[in-house]
Amino acid sequence: MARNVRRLMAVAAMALALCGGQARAADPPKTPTIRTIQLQVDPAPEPRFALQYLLETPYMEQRPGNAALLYQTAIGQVLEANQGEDAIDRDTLNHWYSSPPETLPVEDVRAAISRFRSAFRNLETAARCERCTWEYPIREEGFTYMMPQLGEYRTLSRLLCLKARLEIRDGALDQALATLRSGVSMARDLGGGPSIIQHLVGVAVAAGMAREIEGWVQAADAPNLYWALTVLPDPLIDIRASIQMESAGLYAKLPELLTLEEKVLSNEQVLDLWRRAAMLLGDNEEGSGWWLGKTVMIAGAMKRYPQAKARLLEQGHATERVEAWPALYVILLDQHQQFRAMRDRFFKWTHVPYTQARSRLKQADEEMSQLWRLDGDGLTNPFLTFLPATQRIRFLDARLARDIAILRCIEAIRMYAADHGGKLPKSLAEITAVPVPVDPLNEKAFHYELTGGKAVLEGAIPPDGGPRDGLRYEITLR
Amino acid sequence: MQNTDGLTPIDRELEAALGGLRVAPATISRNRVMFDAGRASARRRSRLWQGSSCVLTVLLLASVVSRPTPTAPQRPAETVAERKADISPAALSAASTPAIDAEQVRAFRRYLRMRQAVLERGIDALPGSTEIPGSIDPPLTRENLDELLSST
Repeated sequence: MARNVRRLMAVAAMALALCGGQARAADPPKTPTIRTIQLQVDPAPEPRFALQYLLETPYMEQRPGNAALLYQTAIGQVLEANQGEDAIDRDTLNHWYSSPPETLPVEDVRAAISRFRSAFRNLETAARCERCTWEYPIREEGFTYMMPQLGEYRTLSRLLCLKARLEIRDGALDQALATLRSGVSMARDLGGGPSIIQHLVGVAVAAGMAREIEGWVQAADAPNLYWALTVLPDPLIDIRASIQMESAGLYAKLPELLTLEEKVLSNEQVLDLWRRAAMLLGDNEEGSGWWLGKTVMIAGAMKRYPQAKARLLEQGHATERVEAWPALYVILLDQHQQFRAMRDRFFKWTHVPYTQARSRLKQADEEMSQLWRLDGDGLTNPFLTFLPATQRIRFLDARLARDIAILRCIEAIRMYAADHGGKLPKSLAEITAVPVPVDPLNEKAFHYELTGGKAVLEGAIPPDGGPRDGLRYEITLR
Repeated sequence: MQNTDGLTPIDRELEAALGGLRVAPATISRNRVMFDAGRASARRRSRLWQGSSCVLTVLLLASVVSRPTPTAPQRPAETVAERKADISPAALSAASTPAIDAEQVRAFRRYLRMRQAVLERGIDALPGSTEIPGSIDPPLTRENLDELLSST
């Protein structure tokens, strides 16, 4: 009897599974779609004074001081203010942040963010500071130093976004502009700091502010921000300090590498350096396991010796000198030179526009993959592991530039409409009053078409990104 | 015999002779005197310096003459001169293993992991504050300032 019940249940389960499978098969395949935003905008001419509205504090309105201290103070104030039973948790904040304006619980948000007034005031002051110097000891500590409370900048930036959203909703556009200015300044200061993580956070904060400008352009009688966006530095977020730290952050913990060309290391010293590099990369922290587990690998490293020696001879080192060096030192020197060459091969392309850098970065990426494959049977060059995914960094920078460029396009369209009796242009080429920017992700004009009284402006899905990295605005005039 | 003025004829003769004398024009000026005095003083000082210089010159020459012949420059010794790698287990265990700060190693790994996470997932990959709500000290106020100061 029990066996029959079990059989019956098994048959039922199979039937359910089949039905479920058929139901799933019947569903249309879910493909991620391009991010599409509907915009209802007013025509807006160029302001009477073109540079009246700015998203950065003009020089003559700045004050002496270091904005970094005010940012840290603001973080402390947010943590302090967000206490008690009605503290906003991360999920709630994220939910509000990602809610469309029509479903935003306005009064709840208003009450919640009102408690952060002190922090907002400090951010406004920080936006007026003439410099931002992050005075933490990253030069001494390298990769072991993580900017404290970096995650709280996400909180701060989302609070700022919500504040701007409410101010735009309330028609307090001057105040909204000040809030956006605080956000843009924070993004620029944070992203210009000396670590790639910080840089990426800055880029994300700036992208958040760009999305709030989507709200601005839809506000009734919102002034045109074409020139405010055009005046911003390009790139908005400076990558140089962070790339320079990433270039040399390794040496803070492996300083022998800095003098490797001048000071020959013994085999024991090389082994010790490898051991520390392995520990930093996540091998057994105790060390003993590494010794036992890597002995075979070190023996395999000797396979690299002939090639390493040959490469050093090619570079002009005297044969007798190279042959006198300890074998592991020869391998280490070769590894370090390989690291430096590969690092510079990537990082030099952070200083040219993305469209010029893209194929070269891809090529460098392939070369590095090839090195990994070649190293497969010997000692993997550990130093290559410290390099970040430069191609991705450049893509995220370019995507932010695209977000700003496409907003400039929208403002150029609003300007055209104001100058042409409330009509949308038939093509972007019709806009002649101001330059219409191209898409920094491909250096081509944004796709534009006018269909049924609606303008469609689209930044294509970039080859290095997914569908959600594309951007489409459907614009109608009020 | 003396006259009423008490002068003898010899005295009168001398008086007349002296009265006939004319003031001779000055042959040396005050400036000249001062200059000569200064020069005389300097000469004494310069002799001291000349003497010192002579002694030092003699000493210098003596040191140059007696200087040992320079030897060939020594090339800084390389840290090791092993030709072949010794990768035996014995060598491995003998290798120096300076203590590594475990906290720094963890921080290093955390940085690399976080960097990759932020690259892949963006700002949402960042961890929130580690502060437990309520664990932050209350803000400093006039009321609790006295308490704080008395507790230190």
